[in-house]
Amino acid sequence: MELSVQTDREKMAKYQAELLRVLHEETNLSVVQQEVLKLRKDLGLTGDRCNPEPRFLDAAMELTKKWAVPKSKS
Amino acid sequence: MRDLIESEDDVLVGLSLMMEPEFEVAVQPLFDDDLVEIVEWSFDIGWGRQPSAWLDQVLRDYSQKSQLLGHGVSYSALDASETERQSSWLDNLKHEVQHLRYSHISEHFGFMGGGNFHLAAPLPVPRTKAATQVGIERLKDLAEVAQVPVGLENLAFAFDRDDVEEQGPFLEDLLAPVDGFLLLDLHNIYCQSKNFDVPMLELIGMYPLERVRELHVSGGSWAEHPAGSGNQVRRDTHDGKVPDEIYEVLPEVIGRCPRLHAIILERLGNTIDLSQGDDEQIQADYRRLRTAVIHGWS
Repeated sequence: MELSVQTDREKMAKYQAELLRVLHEETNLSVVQQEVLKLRKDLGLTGDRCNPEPRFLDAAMELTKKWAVPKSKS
Repeated sequence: MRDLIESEDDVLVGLSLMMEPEFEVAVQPLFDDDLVEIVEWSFDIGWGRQPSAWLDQVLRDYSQKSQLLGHGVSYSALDASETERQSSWLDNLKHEVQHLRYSHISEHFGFMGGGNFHLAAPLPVPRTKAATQVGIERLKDLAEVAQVPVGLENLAFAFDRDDVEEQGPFLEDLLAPVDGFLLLDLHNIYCQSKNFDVPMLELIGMYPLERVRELHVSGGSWAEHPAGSGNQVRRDTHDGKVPDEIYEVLPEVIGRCPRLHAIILERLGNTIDLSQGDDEQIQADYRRLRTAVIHGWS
Protein backbone atom coordinates (compact mmCIF):
# COMPACT_ATOMS: atom_id res chain seq x y z
CA MET A 1 0.00 0.00 0.00
CA GLU A 2 1.19 3.51 -0.79
CA LEU A 3 2.60 5.33 2.22
CA SER A 4 0.15 8.21 1.76
CA VAL A 5 -2.82 5.84 1.62
CA GLN A 6 -1.56 4.06 4.74
CA THR A 7 -1.22 7.39 6.52
CA ASP A 8 -4.70 8.39 5.39
CA ARG A 9 -6.03 5.06 6.61
CA GLU A 10 -4.55 5.67 10.04
CA LYS A 11 -6.11 9.12 9.99
CA MET A 12 -9.47 7.62 9.04
CA ALA A 13 -9.20 4.97 11.75
CA LYS A 14 -8.46 7.67 14.32
CA TYR A 15 -11.41 9.73 13.07
CA GLN A 16 -13.79 6.78 13.33
CA ALA A 17 -12.63 5.80 16.80
CA GLU A 18 -12.77 9.35 18.14
CA LEU A 19 -16.13 10.05 16.54
CA LEU A 20 -17.65 7.02 18.22
CA ARG A 21 -16.06 7.92 21.53
CA VAL A 22 -17.37 11.48 21.43
CA LEU A 23 -20.88 10.48 20.34
CA HIS A 24 -21.00 7.75 22.96
CA GLU A 25 -19.52 9.57 25.93
CA GLU A 26 -20.50 13.21 25.60
CA THR A 27 -23.95 14.39 26.69
CA ASN A 28 -23.57 18.07 25.89
CA LEU A 29 -24.49 18.81 22.28
CA SER A 30 -22.33 21.94 22.14
CA VAL A 31 -19.28 19.94 23.16
CA VAL A 32 -20.09 17.31 20.56
CA GLN A 33 -20.40 20.02 17.91
CA GLN A 34 -16.95 21.39 18.77
CA GLU A 35 -15.35 17.93 18.87
CA VAL A 36 -16.93 16.84 15.59
CA LEU A 37 -15.88 20.10 13.93
CA LYS A 38 -12.28 19.44 14.94
CA LEU A 39 -12.35 15.77 13.95
CA ARG A 40 -13.79 16.45 10.52
CA LYS A 41 -11.34 19.32 9.91
CA ASP A 42 -8.46 17.05 10.88
CA LEU A 43 -9.75 14.51 8.38
CA GLY A 44 -9.48 17.13 5.66
CA LEU A 45 -13.14 18.04 5.27
CA THR A 46 -13.99 21.67 4.70
CA GLY A 47 -16.86 24.15 4.97
CA ASP A 48 -20.31 22.94 6.04
CA ARG A 49 -19.08 19.34 6.07
CA CYS A 50 -17.32 20.08 9.35
CA ASN A 51 -20.45 21.38 10.98
CA PRO A 52 -23.39 18.95 10.70
CA GLU A 53 -26.84 20.20 11.74
CA PRO A 54 -27.52 19.73 15.47
CA ARG A 55 -30.49 17.44 14.78
CA PHE A 56 -28.22 14.97 13.00
CA LEU A 57 -25.59 15.11 15.72
CA ASP A 58 -28.32 14.63 18.29
CA ALA A 59 -29.63 11.63 16.34
CA ALA A 60 -26.12 10.19 16.06
CA MET A 61 -25.57 10.67 19.82
CA GLU A 62 -28.79 8.82 20.55
CA LEU A 63 -27.98 6.08 18.07
CA THR A 64 -24.47 5.64 19.41
CA LYS A 65 -25.44 5.75 23.08
CA LYS A 66 -27.97 3.05 22.38
CA TRP A 67 -25.66 0.73 20.51
CA ALA A 68 -21.98 1.52 20.94
CA VAL A 69 -20.24 -0.19 23.82
CA PRO A 70 -16.58 -0.20 24.77
CA LYS A 71 -14.96 -3.42 23.56
CA SER A 72 -13.65 -4.21 27.02
CA LYS A 73 -17.24 -4.36 28.27
CA SER A 74 -18.75 -6.17 25.30
CA MET B 1 -34.45 0.83 -19.19
CA ARG B 2 -36.04 -2.43 -18.16
CA ASP B 3 -39.61 -3.04 -19.27
CA LEU B 4 -42.04 -3.03 -16.41
CA ILE B 5 -42.25 -6.58 -15.27
CA GLU B 6 -45.29 -8.49 -16.39
CA SER B 7 -45.11 -11.64 -14.32
CA GLU B 8 -44.09 -12.54 -10.84
CA ASP B 9 -41.39 -14.82 -12.24
CA ASP B 10 -39.21 -11.89 -13.24
CA VAL B 11 -38.50 -10.54 -9.79
CA LEU B 12 -38.94 -12.55 -6.61
CA VAL B 13 -40.68 -10.99 -3.63
CA GLY B 14 -39.86 -12.13 -0.13
CA LEU B 15 -39.24 -11.47 3.53
CA SER B 16 -36.31 -10.79 5.78
CA LEU B 17 -36.46 -13.51 8.44
CA MET B 18 -36.44 -12.75 12.15
CA MET B 19 -35.88 -14.96 15.20
CA GLU B 20 -38.74 -13.68 17.37
CA PRO B 21 -41.87 -15.87 17.73
CA GLU B 22 -44.07 -12.83 17.02
CA PHE B 23 -42.53 -12.62 13.55
CA GLU B 24 -43.36 -16.25 12.87
CA VAL B 25 -47.00 -15.64 13.86
CA ALA B 26 -47.20 -12.50 11.75
CA VAL B 27 -45.84 -13.99 8.52
CA GLN B 28 -47.12 -17.57 8.70
CA PRO B 29 -50.29 -16.73 6.68
CA LEU B 30 -48.07 -15.43 3.86
CA PHE B 31 -46.18 -18.73 3.76
CA ASP B 32 -49.47 -20.66 4.01
CA ASP B 33 -50.75 -18.79 0.94
CA ASP B 34 -47.51 -19.59 -0.91
CA LEU B 35 -46.70 -15.91 -1.41
CA VAL B 36 -43.11 -15.90 -0.16
CA GLU B 37 -40.87 -16.59 -3.13
CA ILE B 38 -37.51 -15.84 -1.56
CA VAL B 39 -36.18 -15.15 1.95
CA GLU B 40 -33.28 -13.22 3.36
CA TRP B 41 -31.41 -14.15 6.49
CA SER B 42 -29.09 -11.93 8.51
CA PHE B 43 -26.97 -14.90 9.45
CA ASP B 44 -24.69 -13.06 11.87
CA ILE B 45 -27.55 -12.18 14.23
CA GLY B 46 -28.07 -15.92 14.53
CA TRP B 47 -24.47 -16.79 15.36
CA GLY B 48 -24.34 -18.24 18.86
CA ARG B 49 -28.13 -18.43 19.12
CA GLN B 50 -30.47 -21.34 18.56
CA PRO B 51 -33.04 -20.78 15.78
CA SER B 52 -36.58 -22.05 16.32
CA ALA B 53 -37.59 -25.24 14.55
CA TRP B 54 -39.74 -23.13 12.21
CA LEU B 55 -36.90 -20.79 11.27
CA ASP B 56 -34.47 -23.66 10.82
CA GLN B 57 -36.89 -25.42 8.47
CA VAL B 58 -37.57 -22.27 6.42
CA LEU B 59 -33.83 -21.67 6.01
CA ARG B 60 -33.24 -25.23 4.86
CA ASP B 61 -36.20 -25.21 2.46
CA TYR B 62 -35.21 -21.97 0.75
CA SER B 63 -31.55 -22.94 0.72
CA GLN B 64 -32.45 -26.11 -1.16
CA LYS B 65 -34.48 -24.07 -3.66
CA SER B 66 -31.60 -21.58 -4.11
CA GLN B 67 -33.94 -18.84 -2.94
CA LEU B 68 -32.03 -17.79 0.15
CA LEU B 69 -30.21 -14.46 0.36
CA GLY B 70 -27.57 -13.62 2.96
CA HIS B 71 -27.40 -10.19 4.56
CA GLY B 72 -24.71 -9.49 7.15
CA VAL B 73 -25.10 -6.69 9.66
CA SER B 74 -21.84 -6.57 11.61
CA TYR B 75 -18.90 -6.92 9.19
CA SER B 76 -18.28 -3.15 9.22
CA ALA B 77 -17.02 -2.92 5.66
CA LEU B 78 -15.56 0.59 5.94
CA ASP B 79 -13.98 0.24 9.37
CA ALA B 80 -10.43 1.52 8.91
CA SER B 81 -9.08 0.14 12.18
CA GLU B 82 -6.81 -2.89 12.24
CA THR B 83 -8.62 -5.31 14.53
CA GLU B 84 -9.68 -8.95 14.48
CA ARG B 85 -13.33 -8.03 14.02
CA GLN B 86 -13.44 -8.73 10.29
CA SER B 87 -11.24 -11.85 10.28
CA SER B 88 -13.31 -13.36 13.07
CA TRP B 89 -16.51 -12.51 11.20
CA LEU B 90 -15.15 -14.10 8.01
CA ASP B 91 -14.21 -17.27 9.91
CA ASN B 92 -17.82 -17.55 11.03
CA LEU B 93 -19.01 -16.91 7.49
CA LYS B 94 -16.86 -19.79 6.19
CA HIS B 95 -18.78 -22.09 8.51
CA GLU B 96 -22.10 -20.50 7.57
CA VAL B 97 -21.76 -21.02 3.82
CA GLN B 98 -20.87 -24.67 4.33
CA HIS B 99 -24.31 -25.27 5.84
CA LEU B 100 -26.63 -23.03 3.84
CA ARG B 101 -26.58 -22.11 0.16
CA TYR B 102 -26.91 -18.38 -0.30
CA SER B 103 -27.58 -16.97 -3.77
CA HIS B 104 -25.74 -13.80 -2.86
CA ILE B 105 -24.44 -12.06 0.24
CA SER B 106 -24.67 -8.39 1.10
CA GLU B 107 -23.43 -6.12 3.85
CA HIS B 108 -23.81 -2.44 4.73
CA PHE B 109 -22.08 0.70 3.56
CA GLY B 110 -20.48 2.50 6.51
CA PHE B 111 -18.61 1.56 9.68
CA MET B 112 -19.89 0.04 12.89
CA GLY B 113 -16.89 0.12 15.14
CA GLY B 114 -13.59 1.84 15.68
CA GLY B 115 -10.84 2.03 18.25
CA ASN B 116 -12.25 0.76 21.50
CA PHE B 117 -15.88 0.66 20.45
CA HIS B 118 -18.36 -1.72 18.91
CA LEU B 119 -21.44 -0.28 17.30
CA ALA B 120 -24.51 -2.07 15.99
CA ALA B 121 -25.79 0.64 13.64
CA PRO B 122 -23.63 1.93 10.79
CA LEU B 123 -22.38 5.50 10.44
CA PRO B 124 -21.34 7.15 7.15
CA VAL B 125 -17.75 7.48 6.01
CA PRO B 126 -16.51 10.40 3.88
CA ARG B 127 -15.37 9.36 0.39
CA THR B 128 -11.58 9.41 0.59
CA LYS B 129 -8.89 7.39 -1.16
CA ALA B 130 -8.07 5.55 2.06
CA ALA B 131 -11.71 4.74 2.84
CA THR B 132 -12.17 3.46 -0.70
CA GLN B 133 -9.08 1.26 -0.39
CA VAL B 134 -10.31 -0.17 2.92
CA GLY B 135 -13.75 -0.93 1.49
CA ILE B 136 -12.37 -2.63 -1.62
CA GLU B 137 -10.06 -4.83 0.47
CA ARG B 138 -12.89 -5.81 2.78
CA LEU B 139 -15.21 -6.64 -0.14
CA LYS B 140 -12.52 -8.75 -1.81
CA ASP B 141 -12.07 -10.68 1.45
CA LEU B 142 -15.82 -11.15 1.68
CA ALA B 143 -16.08 -12.33 -1.93
CA GLU B 144 -13.27 -14.84 -1.44
CA VAL B 145 -15.07 -16.50 1.46
CA ALA B 146 -18.62 -16.17 0.14
CA GLN B 147 -17.91 -17.58 -3.36
CA VAL B 148 -21.18 -15.97 -4.53
CA PRO B 149 -21.90 -12.41 -5.69
CA VAL B 150 -21.35 -9.89 -2.89
CA GLY B 151 -22.79 -6.44 -2.46
CA LEU B 152 -23.43 -3.46 -0.23
CA GLU B 153 -26.58 -1.73 0.98
CA ASN B 154 -26.92 2.04 0.91
CA LEU B 155 -27.08 3.77 4.30
CA ALA B 156 -29.95 5.83 5.74
CA PHE B 157 -28.10 8.03 8.18
CA ALA B 158 -26.07 11.00 6.94
CA PHE B 159 -24.40 13.91 8.69
CA ASP B 160 -24.75 16.28 5.76
CA ARG B 161 -25.93 16.69 2.18
CA ASP B 162 -22.50 15.72 0.85
CA ASP B 163 -22.78 12.37 2.62
CA VAL B 164 -26.03 11.91 0.73
CA GLU B 165 -24.80 12.99 -2.70
CA GLU B 166 -21.49 11.13 -2.68
CA GLN B 167 -22.84 7.80 -1.45
CA GLY B 168 -23.89 6.55 -4.89
CA PRO B 169 -20.55 7.28 -6.61
CA PHE B 170 -18.71 5.99 -3.54
CA LEU B 171 -20.61 2.70 -3.75
CA GLU B 172 -19.67 2.40 -7.41
CA ASP B 173 -16.00 2.91 -6.45
CA LEU B 174 -16.29 0.10 -3.91
CA LEU B 175 -18.36 -2.36 -5.95
CA ALA B 176 -16.72 -2.09 -9.36
CA PRO B 177 -13.43 -3.88 -8.46
CA VAL B 178 -15.35 -6.99 -7.31
CA ASP B 179 -18.20 -6.59 -9.79
CA GLY B 180 -20.36 -6.35 -6.70
CA PHE B 181 -24.06 -5.60 -6.59
CA LEU B 182 -26.01 -2.83 -4.98
CA LEU B 183 -28.72 -3.59 -2.47
CA LEU B 184 -30.87 -0.49 -2.79
CA ASP B 185 -32.86 0.13 0.37
CA LEU B 186 -35.80 2.32 -0.59
CA HIS B 187 -36.64 3.28 2.97
CA ASN B 188 -33.07 4.46 3.47
CA ILE B 189 -33.54 6.60 0.37
CA TYR B 190 -36.83 7.82 1.83
CA CYS B 191 -35.05 8.81 5.06
CA GLN B 192 -32.47 10.86 3.17
CA SER B 193 -35.15 12.35 0.96
CA LYS B 194 -37.09 13.58 4.00
CA ASN B 195 -34.07 14.63 6.06
CA PHE B 196 -32.38 16.57 3.27
CA ASP B 197 -35.40 17.58 1.19
CA VAL B 198 -34.38 15.88 -2.04
CA PRO B 199 -36.95 13.99 -4.17
CA MET B 200 -36.58 10.22 -3.89
CA LEU B 201 -36.17 9.61 -7.62
CA GLU B 202 -33.50 12.31 -7.82
CA LEU B 203 -31.54 10.55 -5.08
CA ILE B 204 -32.07 7.14 -6.64
CA GLY B 205 -30.66 8.46 -9.91
CA MET B 206 -27.33 9.11 -8.15
CA TYR B 207 -26.80 5.35 -7.57
CA PRO B 208 -25.34 2.78 -9.99
CA LEU B 209 -28.72 1.23 -10.78
CA GLU B 210 -27.29 -1.24 -13.28
CA ARG B 211 -25.73 -2.96 -10.23
CA VAL B 212 -28.97 -3.39 -8.27
CA ARG B 213 -29.84 -7.05 -7.60
CA GLU B 214 -32.03 -6.47 -4.59
CA LEU B 215 -34.37 -3.88 -3.11
CA HIS B 216 -35.30 -3.47 0.54
CA VAL B 217 -38.65 -2.05 1.53
CA SER B 218 -39.62 -1.21 5.10
CA GLY B 219 -41.19 1.34 7.41
CA GLY B 220 -39.55 3.55 9.98
CA SER B 221 -40.21 6.32 12.45
CA TRP B 222 -39.84 10.03 13.11
CA ALA B 223 -37.68 11.23 15.96
CA GLU B 224 -37.95 14.66 17.52
CA HIS B 225 -34.64 16.31 18.25
CA PRO B 226 -35.11 19.40 20.42
CA ALA B 227 -31.58 20.46 19.70
CA GLY B 228 -32.59 20.97 16.09
CA SER B 229 -35.29 23.55 16.85
CA GLY B 230 -38.13 21.11 16.49
CA ASN B 231 -36.73 19.47 13.38
CA GLN B 232 -37.57 15.85 12.98
CA VAL B 233 -35.25 13.16 11.73
CA ARG B 234 -36.61 10.21 9.77
CA ARG B 235 -34.99 7.01 10.96
CA ASP B 236 -34.74 3.54 9.49
CA THR B 237 -36.17 1.69 12.46
CA HIS B 238 -38.05 -1.08 10.60
CA ASP B 239 -40.95 -0.79 12.99
CA GLY B 240 -43.90 0.61 11.08
CA LYS B 241 -46.01 0.77 7.96
CA VAL B 242 -44.25 1.18 4.62
CA PRO B 243 -44.74 4.81 3.46
CA ASP B 244 -46.99 5.30 0.43
CA GLU B 245 -44.23 7.19 -1.40
CA ILE B 246 -42.15 4.03 -1.54
CA TYR B 247 -44.91 2.14 -3.34
CA GLU B 248 -45.34 5.13 -5.66
CA VAL B 249 -41.73 5.09 -6.88
CA LEU B 250 -41.44 1.31 -6.99
CA PRO B 251 -42.53 0.71 -10.63
CA GLU B 252 -40.12 3.41 -11.85
CA VAL B 253 -37.28 1.96 -9.76
CA ILE B 254 -37.92 -1.56 -11.01
CA GLY B 255 -37.89 -0.26 -14.56
CA ARG B 256 -34.48 1.33 -14.04
CA CYS B 257 -32.80 -1.72 -12.46
CA PRO B 258 -32.12 -4.21 -15.27
CA ARG B 259 -30.45 -6.85 -13.03
CA LEU B 260 -33.01 -6.76 -10.22
CA HIS B 261 -33.55 -10.22 -8.74
CA ALA B 262 -35.39 -9.80 -5.43
CA ILE B 263 -37.46 -7.38 -3.37
CA ILE B 264 -37.46 -7.96 0.37
CA LEU B 265 -39.84 -6.57 3.01
CA GLU B 266 -38.12 -5.89 6.33
CA ARG B 267 -39.70 -5.67 9.77
CA LEU B 268 -37.77 -6.09 13.03
CA GLY B 269 -39.15 -9.00 15.01
CA ASN B 270 -38.84 -7.26 18.36
CA THR B 271 -41.10 -4.39 17.19
CA ILE B 272 -44.10 -6.60 16.42
CA ASP B 273 -46.97 -6.19 18.88
CA LEU B 274 -49.62 -8.74 17.99
CA SER B 275 -52.12 -7.11 20.35
CA GLN B 276 -51.87 -3.93 18.26
CA GLY B 277 -52.55 -5.69 14.97
CA ASP B 278 -48.98 -5.46 13.69
CA ASP B 279 -49.36 -8.88 12.10
CA GLU B 280 -52.20 -7.61 9.93
CA GLN B 281 -50.16 -4.54 8.99
CA ILE B 282 -47.20 -6.66 7.93
CA GLN B 283 -49.40 -8.94 5.86
CA ALA B 284 -51.12 -5.94 4.24
CA ASP B 285 -47.76 -4.35 3.41
CA TYR B 286 -46.48 -7.58 1.92
CA ARG B 287 -49.55 -8.16 -0.22
CA ARG B 288 -49.49 -4.55 -1.44
CA LEU B 289 -45.80 -4.86 -2.25
CA ARG B 290 -46.34 -8.05 -4.18
CA THR B 291 -49.24 -6.56 -6.10
CA ALA B 292 -47.15 -3.50 -6.98
CA VAL B 293 -44.35 -5.70 -8.24
CA ILE B 294 -46.52 -7.99 -10.30
CA HIS B 295 -48.75 -5.32 -11.83
CA GLY B 296 -46.41 -2.35 -11.83
CA TRP B 297 -48.70 -0.09 -9.88
CA SER B 298 -48.93 1.02 -6.30
